Amino acid sequence: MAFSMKKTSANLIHKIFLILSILFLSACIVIPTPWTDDKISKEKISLITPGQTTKDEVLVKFDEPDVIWERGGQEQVFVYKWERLRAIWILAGGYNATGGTLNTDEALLILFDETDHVKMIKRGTKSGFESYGDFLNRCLNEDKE
Amino acid sequence: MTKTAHRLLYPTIFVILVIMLSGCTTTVLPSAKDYELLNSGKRSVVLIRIICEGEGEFYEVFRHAVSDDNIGLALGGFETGGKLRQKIPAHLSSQTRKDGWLYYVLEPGFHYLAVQPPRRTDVWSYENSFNSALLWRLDIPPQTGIVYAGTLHIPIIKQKMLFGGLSIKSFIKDSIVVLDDEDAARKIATDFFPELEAFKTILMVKHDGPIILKTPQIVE
Repeated sequence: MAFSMKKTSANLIHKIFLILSILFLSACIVIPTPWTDDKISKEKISLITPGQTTKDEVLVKFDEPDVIWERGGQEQVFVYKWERLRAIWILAGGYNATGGTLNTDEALLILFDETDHVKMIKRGTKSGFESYGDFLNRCLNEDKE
Repeated sequence: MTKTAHRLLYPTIFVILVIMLSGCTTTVLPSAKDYELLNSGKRSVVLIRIICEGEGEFYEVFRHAVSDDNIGLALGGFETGGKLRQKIPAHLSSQTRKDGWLYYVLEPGFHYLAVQPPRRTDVWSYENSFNSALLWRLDIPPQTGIVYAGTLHIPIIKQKMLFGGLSIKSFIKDSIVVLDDEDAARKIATDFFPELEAFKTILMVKHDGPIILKTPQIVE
């Protein structure tokens, strides 16, 4: 008898929790924003030709980078960073509402060789679980793996 | 019900204490894990001194127990992509703290330091305010136990607090300079880290333009 009572109340709690979760989440709206632009467009990136474009030309086309990464030896990487708006979220309840944005960290990496010519160009999105250092290393090492 | 309340009481107190104490400035030596990294050359103790002076008088920089009431420091490096993140400084003793000394345990490479007056706004706005602060570049070479990065001399404008006492209102940014207190830094290094032999003075430099990062060169 006691066991049956316990089971019933546990079931009831689960149901209440489920209903409350549905009610709570039904007031949450996520609007994807696929129309937002990147700081550096694909067209602009296509103007760079590995082996031909020089560092000076990159500076003229893209302006100064946000980060200059010295990888050791003569290798240098220009990193252009920006945040891309992926979605807008709104949470409403009663007479109150709040909202915010969901962004991702984007970057364009341009690797130069010893003669200051573009060696490699990579575009990447940083995962929320990795450090920026790991992200930079991953971007340039992806092809090697 | 009472039993449940009791069970919840201690974890709640613990969580509240952790949140409260996370903002406290610490007077502590590096941990055993830090020492392991220091001895293997993967990290360095970076000694920095900050002196604030206003109206001809020195102001004790780390006088308050809660870090928000002292000046704020932020660091950025390879791991953050140069992005500045507030970092509570550690102090070796109450005397060195009184004299404005602090230390960080950092990996080799370039690191960027920004300093701001005490927080008088919300946490997010304050964190963002470091992006418009002056940047100081620290160059930490590999295999160096202790690096003295210089003494920041910051002229300040003071303000009186509502219930008495003084605080820092703002920095006179154009007049901030880096001084060299190498002798004092060497003494601290000898007193607190006698086992770390390699000591170098590499004064921080004011940094403008794009952030320059170096891949941490760790010698195995």
